Amino acid sequence: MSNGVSIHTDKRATSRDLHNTRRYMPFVAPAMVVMVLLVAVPFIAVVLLSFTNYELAMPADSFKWIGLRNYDRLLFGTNKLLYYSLGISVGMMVVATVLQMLIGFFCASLLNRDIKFRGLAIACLLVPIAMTPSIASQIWKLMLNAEFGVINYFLKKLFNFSVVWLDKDNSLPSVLLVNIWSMTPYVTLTLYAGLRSLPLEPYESAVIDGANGRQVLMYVTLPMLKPLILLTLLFRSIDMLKMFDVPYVLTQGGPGNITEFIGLHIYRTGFGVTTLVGRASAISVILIVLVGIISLGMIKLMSSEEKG
Amino acid sequence: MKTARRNLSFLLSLLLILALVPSVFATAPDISTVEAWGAHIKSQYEGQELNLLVGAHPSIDAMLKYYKDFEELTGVKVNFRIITDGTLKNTALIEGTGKAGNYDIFAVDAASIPEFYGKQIIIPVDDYLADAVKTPEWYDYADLLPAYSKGIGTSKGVTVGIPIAGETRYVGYRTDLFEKYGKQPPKTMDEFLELARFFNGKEEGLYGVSMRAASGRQNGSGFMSVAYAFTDSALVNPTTFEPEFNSPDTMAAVEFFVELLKNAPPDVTTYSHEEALSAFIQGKAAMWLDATALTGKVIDPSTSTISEVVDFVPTPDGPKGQSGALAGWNFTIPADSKKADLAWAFIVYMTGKPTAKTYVENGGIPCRTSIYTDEVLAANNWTYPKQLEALDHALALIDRGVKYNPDFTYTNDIMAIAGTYISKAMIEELTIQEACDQAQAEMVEFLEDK
Repeated sequence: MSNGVSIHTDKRATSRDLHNTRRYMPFVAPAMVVMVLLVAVPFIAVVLLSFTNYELAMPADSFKWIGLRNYDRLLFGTNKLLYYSLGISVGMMVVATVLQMLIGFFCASLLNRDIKFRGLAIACLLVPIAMTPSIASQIWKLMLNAEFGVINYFLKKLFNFSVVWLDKDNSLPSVLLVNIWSMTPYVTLTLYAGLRSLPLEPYESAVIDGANGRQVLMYVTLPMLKPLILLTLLFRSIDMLKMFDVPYVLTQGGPGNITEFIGLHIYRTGFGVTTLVGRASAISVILIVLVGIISLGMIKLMSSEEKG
Repeated sequence: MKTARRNLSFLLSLLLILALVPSVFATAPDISTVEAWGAHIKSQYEGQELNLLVGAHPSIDAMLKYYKDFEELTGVKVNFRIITDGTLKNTALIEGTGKAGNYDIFAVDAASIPEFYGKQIIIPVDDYLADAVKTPEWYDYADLLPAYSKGIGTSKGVTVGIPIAGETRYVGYRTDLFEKYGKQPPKTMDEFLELARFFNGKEEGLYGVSMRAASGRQNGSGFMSVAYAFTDSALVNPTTFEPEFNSPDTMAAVEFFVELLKNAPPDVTTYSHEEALSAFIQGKAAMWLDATALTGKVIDPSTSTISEVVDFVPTPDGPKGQSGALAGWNFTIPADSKKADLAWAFIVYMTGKPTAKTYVENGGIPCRTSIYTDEVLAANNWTYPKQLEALDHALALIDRGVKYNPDFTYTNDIMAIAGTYISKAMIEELTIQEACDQAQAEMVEFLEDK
């Protein structure tokens, strides 16, 4: 009997949902159409191009459908750079995102306390966000120059040693350093906003129950902040995976291919080194699949957290 | 009756001749002076607009200072769209493919000329040059330095671009150091390497040499500066355009380049021409091999700490004899331009002999023999004879039957592949043999797909 009631209620709810959907659709539809056009059209174009030999400015009669040739060249051809690029991109995504989250959360916690010059600190944090990434990277490139960079100047003055920041051993850490400088403030401010919006009651209850600082952090702050942390993690991961401007300006992917991350690899294949737009599209499709898998995993995790 | 008919036909013939006289004059307008030519152009094109797609470059900066003279002379409005030279090539290619006719002139670099012509983005200009009305005598095409007119504006034996800025590369060296240690500037590649090794670390913070070597095209470009001293096939065979990157000659060139740059600043593998120049003008390197177009910054006391103690010699000779780089920018006419004749008129005015001095005085890079031999200009730039000497070396390469930028569509792509693998050899990720073999394999695979 109870089942019957339940089914009846569900049916009513479904019908009401459908009715509501129909009512709201005219208002939402224009935005949805624009979104679909903005996302679907380029996506379909990229997928289609990935099966062609298209190059920039190639004569129309040379343009051909070549099936899976681009994927074959990428996955089984002479140049194995795709695997390396994917490897360092995923590695950098993990390391940089973790560091950005940790440092960002630490800074956000500091800002959340009653500290002096908080306004000034927030203003300073805005500088890396406000700066155009390519210009910031150009300044970093000058600062990191082994011979006339300001960082080595001070290292030599203060500690009598210098570092070749952009050589084969240090170029990846240098890219990481610049990324952390430029993106940690974003994480900090996002988490700071999250911390400020948390309700005070759970904290009062925890204090009454005798929880120490670590327990408050682990059992009150982090669980309440978890949805925002996961969302930030998602954004940062995707952003890191398609990183382009910092290595483009700092190292151009070198020395060798040491810093040729997947975003830069796409650019160099399609526009920077060769003009193989078809093949660059194939790499883009692989990147889209990778981003999709990571995003789906994280969205699933977020959904399960919400339900749980 | 017969006489009347004869008179009538005579009268008609006379009228016809009289009617033709003005048209004869119309096909031979007075273009003997720039002013007369300007009036002629004005009569045809006044009120029209001309659109240029060009890169940010000293040559364009110079032109911006006198292009209004052309506007005043002809009544034509000229619009410059200036973008960074890094994005110019692809933007022009995309515009050319779109065939929208948005632009009437593209600035195209020497290395990209074969690609633009091969992909039918730009048109030949030989017919314009041969037309005495469209190219007045005072333009004096023969006055353009042969190294430039033959070397950077042609493809497949056809003239497709008019050089607006040309350069070769030469070795700059610190005379104070060379005098101090009793050394002579390098004449051969062996001496060049020996000197680089000698000066590397000779004094605190001093390196032997500074060059462009960032992975990819910059590295490939730096490599090409020295490669033709060792091989005719720096990137590909100059006749068949087949890659020969692991041939003994080319491998010797790669080995030399890698050995040479072991005496450069440790992060040279990230150096573009800008960082290479900075290291030299800040006194960090005893020698530098790069573009003549950058000379101004080397000898200008406001930008260079070594301006008083520097001199230049041509690219050293190698087993293959004399060689020298050839690079630069051309004005070209897009195939989809609807105002090709007007575009040519603009090119004639801006690059002609009468305005050449104005161009150089405003900071343009000289392309004409008359400029290099002008006493007043030469007195203001003591490096002119040195540059001419370096250009002779570049011309020697052309006379050897080798074009510095191979005359085929994929020069830039092949150069970048070479530069990426050489960079790997420089950081010892690969041996010279491995780098050359792998570069060769990738070049072959790349061209197979064409």
